[in-house]
Order: sequence, then C-alpha cells, then structure tokens
Amino acid sequence: MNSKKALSLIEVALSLLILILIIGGVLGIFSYGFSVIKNSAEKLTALNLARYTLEEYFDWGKLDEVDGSLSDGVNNGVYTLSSISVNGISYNRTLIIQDGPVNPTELKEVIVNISWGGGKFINVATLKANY
Amino acid sequence: MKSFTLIEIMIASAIFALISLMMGGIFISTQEAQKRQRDKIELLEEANWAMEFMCNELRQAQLNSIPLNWNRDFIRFRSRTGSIIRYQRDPLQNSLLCRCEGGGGCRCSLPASNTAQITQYISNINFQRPAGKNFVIITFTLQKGGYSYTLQSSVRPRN
Repeated sequence: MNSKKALSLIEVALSLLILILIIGGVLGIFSYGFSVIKNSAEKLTALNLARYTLEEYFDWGKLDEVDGSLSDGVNNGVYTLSSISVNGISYNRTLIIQDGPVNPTELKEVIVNISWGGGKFINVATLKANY
Repeated sequence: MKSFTLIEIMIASAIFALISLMMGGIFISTQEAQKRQRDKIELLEEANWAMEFMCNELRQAQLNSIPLNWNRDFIRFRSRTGSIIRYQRDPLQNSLLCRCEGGGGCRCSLPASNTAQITQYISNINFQRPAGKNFVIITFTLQKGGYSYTLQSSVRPRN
C-alpha cells in the first residue's frame, strides 16, 4: 500500500465542511452577542419607561383618576396608557391595579406592564398605600 | 522524484491566496463586530449610569425649584440641602454632559472642584416638567462609534 497516497475527495470535502462549521460557529457567537445586546437595550428602555409610569402615578390621587373619575377611590382594573416610542420601537404601557395583601381599600398593588414587539414584556410591581 | 509543474504551483498558490483572503476577511469582520459590540455595551452601561445618577439626585430635589412648563436641554434645581445644581452640556466640548454645583460656568472639560462629568457621549438631551405635573421627564441620546441609544425616564422630586 502506498503511504504517500493523495487525499480523497471525501476527505477534502469533510475537512472543508468542518472548517465551514467552525467558522460558522464563531460567526454565530457574534450574531448571538448582537441579539443579546439588542435585547438588553430594549429591556433597559422598558425598565426606564416602567419607572417613568410609576413616577407618573406616584400619588394616590393620580391612581384614583386613572379610571376617569376622581374621588371615587382607587378602583381595581387594567388600564391602557399611552404608548411611548423610543429608538424606533413602540412600547405599550398597561397599569394593573389590584388589592394589596391587607386592607384592600387603602392598600393597592400597582403593576406596570411594558410590552413591545414580538411579545416581549416586563412587569414592575409596587404597593401604594393611602395611609 | 517528480517535481511540481508550473500549473500545479500556480493553482496551489491561487488556492492559498483565496483561503488567506477569506480567513483575513473573517478575522477583520469579527474584530469589527467585537468592537461594535464593545461600543454598544459601553453605551448601554453609560446610559444606565447617567440616568440612574440624574434620577437619584433629582428625586431628592426641591420640586418648587423647577418651573412648570420647563422644556430645555439643561436643568437647574435646588438640592435637598439647598445648593443649586445644574445638568448641562459642556459649551466647549458638546459631547460632555456636566453636573455643576453653585454659580459660575459649567464646563467639565476644564478641571474645577464644582463640576463633574456625567457622560462623554451625549448627542441630545431634554428635561421637561409638563404643565400641572409634579415630575420631570428626562430624555437623552448617547452616541458612540455610529451607534446611538435613546433612554427616557421620569422622576418625581420628593422635597
């Protein structure tokens, strides 16, 4: 048997395939990195808009009038707020008011839901008391 | 021992050159991608830090020191302890956002004890206190290496 036998087509094809797979893997890591950064940027924006909303509805009075009528107490419900567009993405804001763990007329749990393209969302919750 | 023909050497050289070019191209593009990713991460970190910093200080500010309908590219307010604080862009170096305390110029590109740099990548900023509202909306855009990122938040001065 000749020990200096040339590489067969299969061997060359296989080695090229392995090379392409390795290069593809390296490029894939970069493309994954870009998508992670894009997600982080969107989440950071959403988190700041959640804070925006919580600061906007900081007062008990503001929570009282979110249903359109003032001085009737803070009513539980899901309220759609105006959406905000940042970095070319529209972020939808929803305010969810539900009873707090105790004393439900005077203590409410306020959840801010920020949702954007492709079903992504974050929820930020806090308690608001009227005492 | 049979030697290589000129054609064989030329073909081998051409293949070698092609592979080298391809590998070089991949190397350069991954280097550029890595730099872009680094720039973006740095910009996100910087934006987060700048927003946290301004929100934390404005949260402790005196609400009445910020006029209603304020809608400018800088803000001036009284801190909890009564000192006057300003956030504004450096007039000499427009990409710097400065925090200045007390009177006098607000140039963080020059060494001064009463000025500090908040971020060095600012390309646009706006502070707004809407009519009848008790909160300040902060919107800014940072820019670095062809990538820009806008962040918006609001804060209610508590004092």
